[in-house]
Amino acid sequence: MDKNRLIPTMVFLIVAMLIFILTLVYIQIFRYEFYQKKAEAQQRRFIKIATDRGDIYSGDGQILATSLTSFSVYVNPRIFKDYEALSALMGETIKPLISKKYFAWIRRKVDRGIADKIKKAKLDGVGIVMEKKRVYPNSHLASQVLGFTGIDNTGLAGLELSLDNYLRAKAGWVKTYADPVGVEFLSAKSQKLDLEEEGLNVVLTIDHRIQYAVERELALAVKKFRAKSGTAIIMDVESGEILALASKPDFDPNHYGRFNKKLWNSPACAIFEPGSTFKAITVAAALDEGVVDLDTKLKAQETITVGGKVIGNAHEIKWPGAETSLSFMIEQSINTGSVQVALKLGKEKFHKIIKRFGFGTKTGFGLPGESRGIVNPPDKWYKPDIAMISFGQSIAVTPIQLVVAFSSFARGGKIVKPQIVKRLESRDGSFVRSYPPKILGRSVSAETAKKVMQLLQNVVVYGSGKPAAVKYYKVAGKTGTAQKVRPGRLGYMKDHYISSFIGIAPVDNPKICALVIIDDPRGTIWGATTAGPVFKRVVSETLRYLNIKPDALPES
Amino acid sequence: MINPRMFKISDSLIWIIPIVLVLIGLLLITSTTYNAELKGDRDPFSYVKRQAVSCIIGLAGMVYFAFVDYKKLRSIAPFLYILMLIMLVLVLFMGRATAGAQRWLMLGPLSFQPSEVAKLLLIISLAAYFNSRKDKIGMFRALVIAGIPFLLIFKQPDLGTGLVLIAISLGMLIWGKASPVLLTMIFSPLASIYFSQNLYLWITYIILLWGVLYFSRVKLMDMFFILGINIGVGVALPILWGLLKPYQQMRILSFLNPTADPHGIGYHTLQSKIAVGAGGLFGSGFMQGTQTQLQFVPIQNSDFIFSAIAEEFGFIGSTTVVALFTILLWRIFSIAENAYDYFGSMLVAGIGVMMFFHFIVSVGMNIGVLPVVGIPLPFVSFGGTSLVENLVAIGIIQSVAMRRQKLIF
Repeated sequence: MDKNRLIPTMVFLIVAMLIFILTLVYIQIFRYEFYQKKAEAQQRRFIKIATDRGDIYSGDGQILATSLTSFSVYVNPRIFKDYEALSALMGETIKPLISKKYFAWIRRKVDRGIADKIKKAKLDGVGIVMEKKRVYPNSHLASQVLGFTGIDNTGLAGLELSLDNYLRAKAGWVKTYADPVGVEFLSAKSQKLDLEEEGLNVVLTIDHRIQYAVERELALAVKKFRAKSGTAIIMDVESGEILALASKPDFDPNHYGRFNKKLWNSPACAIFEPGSTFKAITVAAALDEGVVDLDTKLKAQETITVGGKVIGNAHEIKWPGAETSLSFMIEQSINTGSVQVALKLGKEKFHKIIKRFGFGTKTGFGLPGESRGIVNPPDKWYKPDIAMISFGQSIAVTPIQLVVAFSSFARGGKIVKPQIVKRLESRDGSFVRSYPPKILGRSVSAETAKKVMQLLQNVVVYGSGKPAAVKYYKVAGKTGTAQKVRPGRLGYMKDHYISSFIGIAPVDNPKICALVIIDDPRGTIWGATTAGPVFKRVVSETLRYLNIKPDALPES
Repeated sequence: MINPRMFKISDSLIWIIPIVLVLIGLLLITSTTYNAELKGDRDPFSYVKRQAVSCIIGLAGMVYFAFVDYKKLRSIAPFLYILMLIMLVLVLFMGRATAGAQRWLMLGPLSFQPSEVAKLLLIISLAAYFNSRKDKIGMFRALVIAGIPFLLIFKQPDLGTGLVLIAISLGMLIWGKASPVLLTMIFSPLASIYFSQNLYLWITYIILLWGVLYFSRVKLMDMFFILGINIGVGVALPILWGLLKPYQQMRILSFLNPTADPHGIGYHTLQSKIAVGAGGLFGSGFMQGTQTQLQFVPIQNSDFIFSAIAEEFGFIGSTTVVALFTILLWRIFSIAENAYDYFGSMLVAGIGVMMFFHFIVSVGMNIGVLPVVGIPLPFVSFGGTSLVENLVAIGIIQSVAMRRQKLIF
């Protein structure tokens, strides 16, 4: 045998070795960063760590809005084969998927029990993810206050929208490395980039029992009077806390999509012409400016002409031409009387005091989309406007503004800021932000306020407000029956009214102010006969529930 | 039979390097299987344990064959050849199928891959045949001896091992009789395959080949044989291509254009290269390679184990393995060159060619310079049959080494 085979073999071997080593030098040293980046890019995953949105509680501790965990099942169709086993676990027939994708939902939002069984079975290519679903356990209750969240759990209406910054949980981010399918992770190399923060819980001033009573009575009244809607607000006059705020019809925030969009927002924030309830403001302004006093006599007139407009009364005057007291004018809600008072006052002073009551300014009590109302400056008033405004037409206010204005009579003229949020708090209690009562200003002097309270009490005892009287409690209040503005604000519609009653109780030691509005009632149109009985029932129930000391003997 | 003096003249590097490679393999098998097994609630060390058991059996086999005179293999070669054919036929009918191929044969509690064993048995058979013919080696008969097991293995299908058999046969032919005519016989068909892409080019090539053979005054028989093979291959290739399994065609295509589609063709090659590149100079550390741990590279405990070495132990680790194989192969071919007799020389050369081919193809495909062919890296990759076989082969080499006395021609 010749001996020349080792050298060519070695040449071949060394050439192969050199090719390998040069390739390795190129890949591992010169192109190291390139491949490092490529590896990083295909392995890196940023994972969002979602946490719970804050819950919403009523002032008396009832859960009004919360988030529930639900489980969703997905498969990797490239890996997953055992559809029979999955069908057995889920108790339903799952049809095999033919897909080249790495991800396909099998079922969204299944029970925890099924999810646990699937987890335990450890089938190859099946996964479970947790998802959050916003739930409103009381269905319709306070729906227009609460609002709702969208599919991505951000607030879209109500407090869910206006408090979204507090309620919303801040997602955390984790950087990790995942396999090509994105199912298995390297937990050892995971790195927290951003800590997640839970949303704050919100405690409302709303008392769920009072809210429930109000909603129940409103619903009955709307049905009884075949009205378009009914709205009511009950506010604590001491603290400005809103104990109930409701309208009927409303919606179920769990299924908000099934309802008319118009029902999503509360009419309590929207404008309306208040009608005769505003006479209390007119009289208060005149008393405060000293242009009238309790003993001032007014003429009983069928009509009065201001700026070329003939203004009449809703009811016939029994003794035309006679002199009447200020109290009688307001008890019987005589338009021509309130016009006389306003004319004595003059539009500059009238406007100034209307503004002091808070009309034309947002109260900022918490719900989104609150209106400022429409209070034009006096130089923009048409000639009859001073007369119209004196009995609450040609001016637009929101129900919440009206409640705040009336509450000032109970507080000796102090305007208290209304609020619907009692406090914000973190889940572990380490953070709390309370909203203490806040006095925004003064509407009238304490003396004036006292006089107005007396007049308003007379309305309920002797006048139009009798149907709103509450057993065992003294009530001061005012009825309102306003003509509805024609859409587009061109005059008023015939036979369409907004009827209301607003009152304070108990008179001796005022606790609450309540407003009831019935929009477009049928059969009877008067504030006294439609809103009055609703007021009577909800205020009676509220005062007894709040354990308020009675201040009146029952009528014998 | 065991003689201490004989052990002294055995080749110490051929003892040491395989053991070092096996230890590297155990380390890498741990790294590539530990986490996956742990996640699956199985024993995380199950692969390592199985490999360790195979290693102990293999080491026993190695020592046994080192001290048995290799010449005894020559006398039982025909028997071994028939045993090989029986196993390969049995596996086609009784074999256990995994991943679309029927490769495993059960023997009581043991299971093994006859195609792996066939490599060593073919080497012994061919060495014995060449020894019986010496200088009158018949190309045709050699092809028949290698062709039968090749077809049986190709049928399983196991293209990788089939290619190893071809490499062994050609390598041994060259080692046994390195004449220009033989080399032309072996390598001209490769040119024919290359030129068959274009009919006119191919016809031109065949005419030129005939001209060269004619003027070189090659024997008429050889000339007809060479031309016959060239024409046969050129015509048969498109037909054979159609016979390949789709995944085999894909692998060849993926080698030709690896970056075409990252998730289809070439994906494995690309992922393997990323793993190698991301290792850098020093590597990401034992069990720290993200490509490896996240299983971006397939079959990492076997065919793609080199990429795991390169990622976790870096350029230092990868070149160390390349250097170890180079030194081992140098020692093996030196033993073949200096063997006592022709049979021993052919035997060791055959083993050398087998390990050489495994090394070249396995490392080459891991670093993207050769197409993906599913064959393991000797001593390192997970796989009991392969490990035992390679260690036994080392024993046979040592047996030849210990009995080498200078042959004087």
